[in-house]
Amino acid sequence: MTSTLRSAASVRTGISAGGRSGGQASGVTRKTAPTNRSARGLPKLIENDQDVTPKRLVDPEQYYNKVKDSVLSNDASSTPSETTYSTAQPQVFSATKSLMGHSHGGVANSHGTDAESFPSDHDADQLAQSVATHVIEDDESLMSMDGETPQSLLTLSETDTIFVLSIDSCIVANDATDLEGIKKQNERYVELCKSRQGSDVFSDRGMNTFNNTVKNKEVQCERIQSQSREVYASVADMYDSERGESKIILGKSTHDTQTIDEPLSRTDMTRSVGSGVDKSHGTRLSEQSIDETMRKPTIAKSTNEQVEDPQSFDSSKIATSVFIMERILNSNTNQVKQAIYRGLTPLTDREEKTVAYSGLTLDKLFAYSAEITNNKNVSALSWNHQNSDLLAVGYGPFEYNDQRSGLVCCWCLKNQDFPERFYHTPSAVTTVAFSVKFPSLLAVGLFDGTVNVYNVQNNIDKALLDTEEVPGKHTAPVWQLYWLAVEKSRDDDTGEVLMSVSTDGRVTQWLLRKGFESSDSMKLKRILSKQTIQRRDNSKEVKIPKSENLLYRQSGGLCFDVCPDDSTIYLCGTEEGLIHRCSLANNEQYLDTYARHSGPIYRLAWSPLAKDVFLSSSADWTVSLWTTDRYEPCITFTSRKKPVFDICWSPKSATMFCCANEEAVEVWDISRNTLEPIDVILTTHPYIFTSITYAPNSECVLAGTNVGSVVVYNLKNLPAPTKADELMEIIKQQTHQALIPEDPTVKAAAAMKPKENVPISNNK
Amino acid sequence: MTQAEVDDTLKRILEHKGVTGYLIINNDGIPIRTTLDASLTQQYAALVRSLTDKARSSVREIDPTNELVFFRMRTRKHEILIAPDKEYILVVLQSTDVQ
Repeated sequence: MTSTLRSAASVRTGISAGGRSGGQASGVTRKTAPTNRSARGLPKLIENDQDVTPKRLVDPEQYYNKVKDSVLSNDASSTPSETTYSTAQPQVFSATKSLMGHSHGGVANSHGTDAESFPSDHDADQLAQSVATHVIEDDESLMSMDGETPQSLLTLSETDTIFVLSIDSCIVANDATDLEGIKKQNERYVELCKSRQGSDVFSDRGMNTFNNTVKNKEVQCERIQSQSREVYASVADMYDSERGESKIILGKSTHDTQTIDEPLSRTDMTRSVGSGVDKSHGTRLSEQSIDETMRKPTIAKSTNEQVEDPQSFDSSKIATSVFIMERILNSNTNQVKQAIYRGLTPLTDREEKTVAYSGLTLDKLFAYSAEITNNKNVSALSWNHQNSDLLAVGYGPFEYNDQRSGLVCCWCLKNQDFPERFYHTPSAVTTVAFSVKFPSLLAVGLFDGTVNVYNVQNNIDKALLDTEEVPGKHTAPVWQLYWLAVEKSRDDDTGEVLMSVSTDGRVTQWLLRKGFESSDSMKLKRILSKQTIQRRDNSKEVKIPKSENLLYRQSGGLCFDVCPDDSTIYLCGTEEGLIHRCSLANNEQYLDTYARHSGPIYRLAWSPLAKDVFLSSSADWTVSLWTTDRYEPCITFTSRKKPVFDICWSPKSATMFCCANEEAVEVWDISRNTLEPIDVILTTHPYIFTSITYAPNSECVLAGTNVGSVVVYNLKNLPAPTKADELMEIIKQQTHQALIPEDPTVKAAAAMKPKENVPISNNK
Repeated sequence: MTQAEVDDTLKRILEHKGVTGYLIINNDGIPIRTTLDASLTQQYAALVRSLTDKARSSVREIDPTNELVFFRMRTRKHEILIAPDKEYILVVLQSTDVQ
């Protein structure tokens, strides 16, 4: 212990202690430096003209004093770890200390035996060298600082790890040569370790690390605010966001709502109902209920701001809702009637009136009439082929001298107060016909001879096509139109032609390519009445000779009908009361002519169920039933003294048809009674019936009047539908009985009771 | 439909048998147009809005491809017909006595 003190003291004071290692000598000389230098000042680190010298945590003078005190009081002194502390001054101290420790070890060695297994010599040299290098470095840095301005760069870096003592064990194999020597050494070492306790050779020494002083640093930041939000995603929301059409609505507690829209894709604009994407309300639900309750008291306030809304409110946005609403309202008020129309048993609270109607009755259901159709004569009715609830009605007077603009309306069962579509035409409408192949095309024939084609998918007044400028257009009123399916002659043909008949004596086919192209199927030639007189004079039945006269005159055609079985054969009725059977193949000559009527033929109708049977109605107050092979009508029906404007076969029953007189709607059933109609509706108001048709999907008859309403009658207590053969049976019976030639009273006034109907009794 | 046609149809709806009046509400529950008196309008606007939302979301919960087109509530005295649209709701009141 005393030796240590002495050596320490010598190191401390004299700085000229004679050290073992060479390094110490250099260290000696260096010892002067710190004292000199402490008078001069510390090196400064200047960077970018700023003094960035790291401040010392510890004042070296104090440190030195502390060390001194600790050494004197035999406390643990510094450790070799000081060597890593790389400012100039303490480095010197640490070197001092390590040397101190080292010299001590060396001293101890000298006392012990040689060949100690204390292989620290090698390490000691190493240590000295490393210390020397450090010292040298310091020296250099110190020296460089002596004569320079304080602008040099100090690089602070970490030194490598310095192993103060490293004793590695080595393993020797059992068959090594010097095994005995190593074993002896090991044994000696073990003994040495045992004798260590209490021996004078060894002394204990402790070490302590200095704790660096600690500096506290505080940082303050703004308070981070947090807010919780929740949103409920419903199935609908998830579906919407999958499709990329979601509208995310962020509602705050105030009334501002901010919506983030993603571009919607309204792909199905054609659907009038429910088009577009439904707004996802799920996200609003959780907030909506809260918002609603919060909003209640303020609603009164917000309606005052409503003033600005009517100007910006565009009614067309709610078009679909309004449309649906009107129909629903209609069905509300008219549910019973619509149910009857559909053939459903209506829900009625009151019991049915038990009137014993045994036979067929006509029951008025409702009428299609609106303000725009007031006082317009219904001239034509036509059903749509795709939607059997859709009825096209043409309005226009029959007379020549009362020309006003015409109107075409499309009515639907669902709304009987207003038509679905209405088109104004420049002149009166005489006929309408829906296309079969393209159910949205409606052909309208006008009084001035033009034919217009409308597309009923929209409500534009302008016709899709018209024959205004087409050469070959009719010069006189078009009385009937018919869409006929034909074979396509060219690839771009539609496969359908429009046939029309007009007072100018032509039956024309129109091809709808880019415009109208016409081709005449037939020119109606007038057959002079001389032939008819000739025929009447003959007592036998002869075929009418198709003779041609010197003077031709066109005779006006009023109606025609294409045979349902053979679409190349058609019948045409003229103003003179003649019915011509013609073929599309032959446009010069008629196949047959049937002459019986004494007034213009208003309507021809092939029977839909029986073959080769047709009806004709005429202004001579009669309706006649013909077969194509006979030139006399099989049966003639008269009941009133009024011209019959329109007839229509029942689509289901072969022997039933109805006709519209001027003053009544009559339903005839040939199988029951050929003299009288089985039911009649008389007009009680000052209007007349002008057209009639059967409903294709209902047991109803629709009759048009001349005040603009189309009245719907329901046929109740219908008899079982009769088949075509029954009709043929009856016809056969009638014709057999008609072998007696009839009295040629052509004047309709006298034709009240046609002679061939005398034996009736065996009719069922 | 153009605006004029829609206005015509609204007029016809008003003249329909039994109809007491109609009301058009926007998405915030604010009445845009009405033929009812003010207090009734307020009540209907607030109540129908939330009811429509609930009905609409119910329909879509069951099947997201579906959407609500129309619904009506028939009570003893009136029938309330509601046609929701993308941005507006049309509400019509019809009396049930007239039949």
